[in-house]
Amino acid sequence: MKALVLNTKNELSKLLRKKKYIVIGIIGALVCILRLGGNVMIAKVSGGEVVIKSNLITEMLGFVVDILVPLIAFMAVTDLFASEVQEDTFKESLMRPLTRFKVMTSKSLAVFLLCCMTILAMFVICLAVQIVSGNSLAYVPQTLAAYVVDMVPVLALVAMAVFINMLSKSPTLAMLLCIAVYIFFKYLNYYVSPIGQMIFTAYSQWHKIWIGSLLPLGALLSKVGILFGSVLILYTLSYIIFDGKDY
Amino acid sequence: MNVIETNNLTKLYKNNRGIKNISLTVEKGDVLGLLGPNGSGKTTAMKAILNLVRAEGAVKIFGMNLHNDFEKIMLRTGALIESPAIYKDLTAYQNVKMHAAMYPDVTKERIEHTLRAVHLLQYKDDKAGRFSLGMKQRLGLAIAFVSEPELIILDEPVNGLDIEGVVEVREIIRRLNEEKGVTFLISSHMASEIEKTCNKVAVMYESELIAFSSTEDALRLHPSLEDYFLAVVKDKRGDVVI
Repeated sequence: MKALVLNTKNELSKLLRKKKYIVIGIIGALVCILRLGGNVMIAKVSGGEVVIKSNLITEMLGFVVDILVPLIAFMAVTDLFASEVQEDTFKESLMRPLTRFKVMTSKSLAVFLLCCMTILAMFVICLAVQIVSGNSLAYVPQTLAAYVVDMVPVLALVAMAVFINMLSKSPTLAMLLCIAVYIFFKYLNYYVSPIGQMIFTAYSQWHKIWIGSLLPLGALLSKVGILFGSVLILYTLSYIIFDGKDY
Repeated sequence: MNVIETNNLTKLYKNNRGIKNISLTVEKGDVLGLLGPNGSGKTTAMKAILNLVRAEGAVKIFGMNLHNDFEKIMLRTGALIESPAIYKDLTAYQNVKMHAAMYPDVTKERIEHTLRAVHLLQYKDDKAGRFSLGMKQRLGLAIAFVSEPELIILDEPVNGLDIEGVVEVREIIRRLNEEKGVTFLISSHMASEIEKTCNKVAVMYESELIAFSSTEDALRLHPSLEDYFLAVVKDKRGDVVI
């Protein structure tokens, strides 16, 4: 267990030293600020007749969990798997005192933690913008809970990206496949019913089934089953492939 | 005591290269050189011993099964295989520290001591991506040495090093072996390098282990390890030795 924690720290620190994640974080913050700017501009253009008193933190949640975090998850998984294989640095992880299962798990956990950090950072940025703009701070605790709950489905996204990285030797191809599969799944979620609801990407805004009006227990259980079942299947398949690979 | 024992280790790639039935024993305190031409299977053999490739046959290190006790084995083993695995976004210090973090009791002082031993201390805060090939090789060696392992596996360790670097690495190996009893498995395609560094030699040729001897015995019968190598290869081919 100690080795797993230590290596997760190692892998996370590798990711945090890459400037691109900071750049993506800044872009996320800019989107948040631009959104507020848009509201201010509408009020100005309309001479104050149209004033949007929005809850920016809630509005931004969809962008964070459906666009920003998947992008970061795909990039980070590709950095820690396909890119390291291509750069011939992956074997360094395999020569540490860790089993292959722990190597794969620590890398996946590091990506998951990076995504959680991004979600929390975006919450803080949105909260700061909300305070500066003078908008209402009602429901902040509930919104924070929604941000935290939405970290859960990121596990499935990471598992999907790991699986795709196991199949691809090229980091570019792995990244493109991650994005293409994700868009395809999202298309199914929105436009192909009921099959779309059987795919884990339908539950990226996980808070919707837990916060507010609760679904019947049976429906809740089936959604929990779909999400964690997907994680289990994707992760097991990834490990089977990973365990048999030569480096 | 045997540090490494392999039994019929076999790994064949699609191009039919790799290793066939390698049975090898490395005793405690040995500096064993794997000598062979490029493509003879030296790296594959080392990778199989480190579980980097899935091979048939059995590997025991420190008397433990490679697959069942991998973590325990790697806590006592350091390695540098092929090109050094260096993270270019990290500094030299961070690269070593990242590896050292997995081992108990590796202090900042020990990391700096190891970097000093490979003459990289003055560059410890430089990004490894900017290093020359020789500096990367030194950094790879520092990573292999930092945990003070009992067994060190080095694949072509003097690759890319200048003359002074080659002598320094040889000296580090000698010192660790004599003073701390570290066991080494070293591969090289240069007979002269094996001759100067190793007390035992195993010759690999066309995926097979074709000869095993102490360096002393080999040199008793041949003027140099190069001649020893040529003789065993000719013998294997069935050529007439004139």
